[in-house]
Amino acid sequence: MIREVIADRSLVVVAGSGGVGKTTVSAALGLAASQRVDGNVLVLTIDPARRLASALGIDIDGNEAVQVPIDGAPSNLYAAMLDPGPAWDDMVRAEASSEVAERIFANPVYRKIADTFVHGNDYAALGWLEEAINSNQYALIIVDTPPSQNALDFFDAPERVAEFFGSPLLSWLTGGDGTLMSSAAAKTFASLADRLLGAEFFADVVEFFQLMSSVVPGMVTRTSSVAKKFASNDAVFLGVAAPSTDLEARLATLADSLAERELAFDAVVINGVEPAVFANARVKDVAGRVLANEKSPFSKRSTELAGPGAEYVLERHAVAVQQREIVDRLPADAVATVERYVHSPTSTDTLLDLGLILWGDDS
Amino acid sequence: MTILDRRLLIVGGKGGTGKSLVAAALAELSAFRNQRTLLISADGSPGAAGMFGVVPEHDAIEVRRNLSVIQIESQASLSEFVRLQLGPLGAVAGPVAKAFSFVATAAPGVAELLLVGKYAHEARSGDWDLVVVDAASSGHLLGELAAPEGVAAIAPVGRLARETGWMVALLSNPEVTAVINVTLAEEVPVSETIEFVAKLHESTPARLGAVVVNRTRPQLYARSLRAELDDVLANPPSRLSIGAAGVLDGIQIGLDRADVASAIDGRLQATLPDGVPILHVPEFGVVPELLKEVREALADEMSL
Repeated sequence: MIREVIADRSLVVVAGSGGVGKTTVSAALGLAASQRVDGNVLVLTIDPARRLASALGIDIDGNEAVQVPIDGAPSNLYAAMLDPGPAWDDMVRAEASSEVAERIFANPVYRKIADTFVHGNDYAALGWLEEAINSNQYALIIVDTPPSQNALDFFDAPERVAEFFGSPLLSWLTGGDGTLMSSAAAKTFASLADRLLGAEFFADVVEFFQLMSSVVPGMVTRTSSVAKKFASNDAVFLGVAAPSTDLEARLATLADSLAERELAFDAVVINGVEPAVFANARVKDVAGRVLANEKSPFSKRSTELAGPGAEYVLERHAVAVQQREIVDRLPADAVATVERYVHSPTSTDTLLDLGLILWGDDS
Repeated sequence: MTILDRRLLIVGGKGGTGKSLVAAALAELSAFRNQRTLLISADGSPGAAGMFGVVPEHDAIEVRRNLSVIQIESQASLSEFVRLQLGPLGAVAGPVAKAFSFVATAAPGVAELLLVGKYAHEARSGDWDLVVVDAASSGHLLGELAAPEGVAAIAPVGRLARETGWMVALLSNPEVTAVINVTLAEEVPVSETIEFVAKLHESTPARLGAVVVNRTRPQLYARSLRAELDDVLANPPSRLSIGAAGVLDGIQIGLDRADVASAIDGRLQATLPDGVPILHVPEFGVVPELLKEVREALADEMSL
């Protein structure tokens, strides 16, 4: 079913809050797409936990996309995991003279850039993606976005970075020509910063802003163009969520943030729904009879033995039914459910099976 | 002695594990023991502190007998810190104050230090017997806990750095401070917990006090009955109805899930430092769980 949604579009954005299986869904879809799409497929994850690599059985080091072997043979699937530090370095190198770049790299404040800025990691990812897209090497790119309450935080990163570095406060602080302004207010400020942070630390911070001011406009232009491409009709938005009681509210929050940009989810994957066997009314009926030891289809001993298990089946029946009610209330046009698995899919085989189910391809 | 006998509990874990519910449940249990308890949400959302019918703020609100809640963020903590440190000079307003907070939050480690500083300050204030923090997810939490030593190393002269000594002393005392990691009985979350614990002990002064395994599945059967049951499942009577076959399938799934949960538990147990308890919260119905369910399960596990 996701096959129809993706059609001939070239970007898939996988979004949702933490712990719902975004990375698993992204990897699974990447595997399925690589078998069904002409050309190369790239999965980019911004998950610091290196799960994608272990699931796909590859060793990713640095920011290069790595080809994923399937059944031991080379394939058209590539995977990359963003390491924000080097990605920032690449952007700085592309925009600054080598002398300025070296000074930036030597600044202690810069070394923390990815953590320091709101959405620093998202921003680095966009910079990385700009290159991947412009390389024209990939027919389809799947982006596993970082966990977020707001699906579009990722795409707002260029704006926020521009805002941060373009703040009037900053020019006030650095006096435009790189020296602290000599107004009484600025002197108060310097004295405050001195006492609390120490003069040297404060000087590093000011130097950092001064150096970055020449680099940031170019970086913002580049990343904005990618962000726009993603937040456009070139991209498919895939929401991933768990079948929790607050599902509707969670999806509504995500959908609202998309609607602000006149976008909508193209499909929603509800991950971790109890298997159909538990939802079946006839299964519930038999489990009830086994537990009560009335008209059980099993021998006396087996019925006795099955008691605690039947109790478990009844418990899960209630959950399965409730989950289905929650899912059924969603607008149905593009909802895919993934059953809860016993073993996490951690090999290319199991991931591919999952991916093909999502892809909606029963051939 | 239980973890509730500490003074500062920092509850972390990855998204979707039920970390906020566990933090709220621990705070309630503490309040029930007549300990003056402060529950702090420090994860950028109302989180645990928002579960008691009020919108938490930077100042404490008493929501139950012995239980108060606050939500903190680095900006407000910064203003508070500046006021406390500098007295009249700290009462600056307008562009000076704005520019200062702008620079301070951009400086490495300062925002994190202010958060840790705030909850550590509450823990040593004497106003509370126990402070429970619904902390940031694993990666950010490590950054916060490492911040006092980090800032002291890169900016050794400012007043902020001078404040780091007592914070490190408080965080590194295992009788006072404990980090609680919340995880699930699944492969990936437990792997992340194991990684988190290694990094916690390597890069921060704080120590792990307990792991809470949420949504776990206890064994359905005693070991002695299991072989007999496995035999029934492997050789089911012929011509079973859909319902009857489904019951056997469902039981098999339950057994498999419990086996996976106990294998994962064993792995966790083998890697945790000696003496760190694993507290189990069983799987209830549809998530999110009810606070009462989680609280009662934790009380059982801690034999309260």
